[in-house]
Amino acid sequence: MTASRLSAALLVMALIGLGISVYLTVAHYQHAPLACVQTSLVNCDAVTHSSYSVVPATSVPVSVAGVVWFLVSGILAGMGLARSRIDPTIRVVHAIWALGGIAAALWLIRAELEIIHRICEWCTAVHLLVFLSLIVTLVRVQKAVGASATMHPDLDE
Amino acid sequence: MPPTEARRAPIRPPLKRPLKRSWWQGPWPIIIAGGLVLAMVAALVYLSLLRSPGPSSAGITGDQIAARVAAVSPAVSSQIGAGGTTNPFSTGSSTALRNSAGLPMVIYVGADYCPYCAAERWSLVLATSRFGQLRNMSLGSSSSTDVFPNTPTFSFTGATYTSSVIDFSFVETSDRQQKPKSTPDVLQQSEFTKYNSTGSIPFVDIASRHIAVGSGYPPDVLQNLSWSTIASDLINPDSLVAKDIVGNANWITAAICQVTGSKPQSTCAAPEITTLESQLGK
Repeated sequence: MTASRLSAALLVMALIGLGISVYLTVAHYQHAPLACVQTSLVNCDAVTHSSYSVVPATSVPVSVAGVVWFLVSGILAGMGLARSRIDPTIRVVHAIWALGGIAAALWLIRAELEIIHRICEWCTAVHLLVFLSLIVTLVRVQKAVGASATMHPDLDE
Repeated sequence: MPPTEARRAPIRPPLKRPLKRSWWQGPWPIIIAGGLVLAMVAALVYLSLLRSPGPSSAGITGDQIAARVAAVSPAVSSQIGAGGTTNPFSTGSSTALRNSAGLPMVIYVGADYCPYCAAERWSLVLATSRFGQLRNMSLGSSSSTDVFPNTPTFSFTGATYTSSVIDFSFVETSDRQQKPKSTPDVLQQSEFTKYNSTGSIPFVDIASRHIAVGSGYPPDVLQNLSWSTIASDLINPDSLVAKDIVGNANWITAAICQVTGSKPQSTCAAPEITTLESQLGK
């Protein structure tokens, strides 16, 4: 897959993630019920009303952090799309950003499984998008590093 | 030989040799990175399952779990306060019901099959343990065919309670299959009928002054959890389980403190208890 397609894939994932995060944020502030199943295992209301639904030591919902994360991810993907040649710096920054995202996702997954004992399907969708974004950003970094090592800077464009 | 006739080596395009790729240029780094993340998620799922061994109570006793519930620290209780639960009590009589020794009487009427009673027992065990000692507790679960099936709980059947400040009596009227089990004594039946025209359970009567009908929190928070997991969650004031059980227990504690004359001080002087006490009807 070419780098521009990978960037486009990242952009699409960022837009989907942004949509979900905005939805969760609006629902949080409007105290609106979420569209999700309510079982003993899957229950997004239980998760989004837990103390883990806000950024630690603040009252800011973690969905706002999701909005910021996907916004930055989308901008970085867009920059990758706009440039005709490889920009390794953007790719590395994007991969580091994705690593930060996956660390936050793992922390939230731990809270869901170990403390709340409930899973939120919207959150799981966001976690999957972050995971897939991480994989794609790593592939892009690999391509950039590989291309520069073989002195073919535009090999994969 | 004239230079023009000099034979020149033919110009050939460079050989298209395949670029030799290092291992890190192949798919393995990506597979390893993705695998690491998935392995961490799998480990979290495994640890979660390990902490929730299901309905089996092998190796643990009711007294052991009750002791862990009773050991909820003042710091956790203080941090939780009402924990999001609302005042479960309505106001009863203006005169406190006391036994012949002058101790305020606390009455619980429930049934083994009832999932709401299952939820209420956790808070009752915690609250009453602050005023005395429960012994011979056993573990149980609500009916498997009712709503919130198999909600983990204690059984008061066969348990004893000793206290120097309250008289706590309890009765389970039906077993897990909804067959008749025990009959309330005259006083229990009298209070139950007087304050509970619908006959709903669980019924908690704090010296006739404060009456709670129904559980103080929904049983779904306990679904699919083991007794050990619930007891473990009680040390974490952020957990939903702790907020509901401890929050409801704090309301019960506040109601009891109001009829014991704030005895014992170690329990009744806690800020979260005095705050809740002020929100109860007199």
